[in-house]
Amino acid sequence: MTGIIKATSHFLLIVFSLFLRVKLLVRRRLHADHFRCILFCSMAIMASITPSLARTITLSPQEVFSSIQTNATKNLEGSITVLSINKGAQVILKYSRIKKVRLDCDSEGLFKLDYTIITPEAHQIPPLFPGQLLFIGSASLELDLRSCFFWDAQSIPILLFEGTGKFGIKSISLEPIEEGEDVLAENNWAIFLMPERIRNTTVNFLSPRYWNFESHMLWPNVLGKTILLVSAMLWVGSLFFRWINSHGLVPLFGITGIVIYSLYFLLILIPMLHTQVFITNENKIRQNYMNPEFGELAARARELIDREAKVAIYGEEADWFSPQTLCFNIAPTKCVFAKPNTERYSGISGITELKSSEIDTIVFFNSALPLPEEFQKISEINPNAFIAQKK
Amino acid sequence: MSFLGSTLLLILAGYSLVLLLRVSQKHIVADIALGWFLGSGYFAMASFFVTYILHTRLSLLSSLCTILLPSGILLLCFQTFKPAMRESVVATIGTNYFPKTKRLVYILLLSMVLAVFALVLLHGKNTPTNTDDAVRLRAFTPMLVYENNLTSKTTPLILNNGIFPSFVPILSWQLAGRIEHFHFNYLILTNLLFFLTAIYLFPAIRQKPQQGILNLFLVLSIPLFVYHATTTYIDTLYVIPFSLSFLTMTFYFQERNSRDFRIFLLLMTITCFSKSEGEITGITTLSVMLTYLITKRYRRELNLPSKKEWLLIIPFALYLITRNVVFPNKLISMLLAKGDLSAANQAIASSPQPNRAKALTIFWDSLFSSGNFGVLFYVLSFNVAYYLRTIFQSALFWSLVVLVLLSLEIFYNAIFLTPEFTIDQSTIHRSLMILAVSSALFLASTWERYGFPQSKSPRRR
Repeated sequence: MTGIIKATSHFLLIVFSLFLRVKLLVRRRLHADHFRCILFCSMAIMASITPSLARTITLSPQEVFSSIQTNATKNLEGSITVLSINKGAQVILKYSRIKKVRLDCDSEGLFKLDYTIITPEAHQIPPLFPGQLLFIGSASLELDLRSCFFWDAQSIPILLFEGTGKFGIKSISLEPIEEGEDVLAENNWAIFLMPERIRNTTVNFLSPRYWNFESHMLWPNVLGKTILLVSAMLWVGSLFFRWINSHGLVPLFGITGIVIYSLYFLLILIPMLHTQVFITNENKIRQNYMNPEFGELAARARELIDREAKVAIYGEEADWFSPQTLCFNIAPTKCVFAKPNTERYSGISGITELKSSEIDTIVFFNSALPLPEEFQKISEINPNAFIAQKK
Repeated sequence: MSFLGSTLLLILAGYSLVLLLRVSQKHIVADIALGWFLGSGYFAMASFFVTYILHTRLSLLSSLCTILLPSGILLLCFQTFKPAMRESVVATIGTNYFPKTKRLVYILLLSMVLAVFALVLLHGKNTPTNTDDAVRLRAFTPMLVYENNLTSKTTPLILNNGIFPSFVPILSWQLAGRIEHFHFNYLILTNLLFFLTAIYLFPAIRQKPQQGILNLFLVLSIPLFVYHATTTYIDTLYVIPFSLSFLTMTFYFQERNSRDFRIFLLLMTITCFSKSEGEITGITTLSVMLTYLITKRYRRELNLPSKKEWLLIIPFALYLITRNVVFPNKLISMLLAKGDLSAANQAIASSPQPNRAKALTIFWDSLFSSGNFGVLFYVLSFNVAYYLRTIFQSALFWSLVVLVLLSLEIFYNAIFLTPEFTIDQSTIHRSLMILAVSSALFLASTWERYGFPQSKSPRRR
């Protein structure tokens, strides 16, 4: 995909420059020679986009088991490496010189998976990690490390799981970096084309777009300054050459620049979009939240909890998003956030207040607080995500 | 179905208001688009008065009475308005919707517009309200209103959120008999749909279809705006009526058609109904309009608004006063601060110097480097410089004044009042969205008037 885009853009650039050359400088119509030139260039470029047969290394089950370093419990069950993940886990694959990792997996839990590479500079960058949502069942994942910031030949991949449950790795294939490959150029290009992802911060700002990550050149600056430069040249040129119609060309270049950026934005936006046409509202919650485990819990809460119930959300202390959104999803049912060592809980913006003794339903999500004895689970996704009611 | 029903009722009320207030542009679809804004704004304002001034509980009956009132009045005077409606149908068929020259370019732009809009609709309708702040401002306050939970705790939230996002969704819930989260998504998308319809048709009606297409293209090329339209954040509900009002104001400056003046006043009133900032930008723009009219009157020019037309400012003034009596707008309070600016000065003095410098950098980066607005501000700044002399000599000058004042307000807030929110980038990009969308419309007006796709300038011989 990257190669095709690269080649197409080269091709378009050549055609456009030919057209400009003829129209602006030579002032002749395009004729047969030019068409032959275009045809030759396009054939050469099409040849370059034929994907080379990349060498891949497929790890044996023993190699998979031994190459994984993780803080989750790791077991080898037959030929499958099974990770028992509790709330979250980091999984390091002890291999370097890798471009892509292909995982065949079987998940018994709902996970949010991010991935990046371990590097001393990693702590300096914002967590703009690529990743995807994992649902229960078998899947084939392709993790492209080239789009990770600071990726190079020494990079070691790290997978970051959020969720609770068992995750089985059936096989791992690694696509290594070929000899003589320009790692820096590949990294820059992959970061340039990295798809946008929905994060908690996306409503405040979209991910920064780098034209060249190594030199921290931002794509809007590159394109914007190019438009400024060309437009300024046209303006100045129109003062000296009568046949340059800046009145028509200045807006044209402005629109062209905006078209280019808009097409680019569509390219990076489309992979993240939820485009299901026929989907129920409950399934929207289940499938389209940033964290599928949370989405499932919210959907079950809406289905199971009575309108008259008095609900407390038992959440992680550092997690501001989940309790608020759980309460919102079951509104207008009375809902508050449980806090340790307090008798009185409050809800969204402090509007609802309930005493701990009034609570008859608990929605539990990764909390450190123990479940009170008088409550029993009525719906469980995993030991860290469930709904309980008073006995 | 309940959302569809509520939308139709709001449009019915709005279309009735369009005819009653004589702001019809003699085009059925454009009038319906305008009717959506007027109808939902009217419902929000009327419900606000019913609950906070008359202290009456909102119910399905009270909502239906409110929403059907304009249609009832129209029905009584139907014969008076029948010819206008017939004229609208004829004019709708006769409008030229597509430019006659450089059609290939406009087909490309229109294709992009349709592709982006289709994706926005699909993703927006599938959003599971996955905001990280589903509370306080967003889809939570209409739930409070629906439940008639209007206390000293909830009222500040509701009014700071704005009465438009807080009151309009409840009609569909009242019709359904229950709260449905996804109606809030649909409200945002419906608002966007009618906005896009309006910014395309308003110029087309004035024989400028190329400007309509440029409006659509430039607005939908703003990445952050496109993304926001798919969420449950209310920034688009604030940006859209302002931008439409700005567009109408630009037409008024150019053509001095009193109908445009009336539409401007009504839409600027609705701008005040979303977010605390809505009132500030509404007052600012109205001040520019007043200044414009005073200069024209000073020059004894004709075609100025009559005294009757100024009556339409009453809802604007009435809302501002009553809303601030019920619960003062914290921004206005800060600025007025008992007759002096000591509170604002205190905010400036207390903000540490290094933060302000960093905030300035981030403010600049947001406009040009962040990608949230694409390359719009690069293109805009060059084109304003290129056409500056002609802009200064034309009616577009006053539109530029509005944009400059808007920029200064956002700048002042971002750098001096809340630099911490600028630095952590929690509000600065969203604050600039209103500037971006209005600038896009301004750019399209400039190009339509002076640049692309005019025929070549006459060659000097």
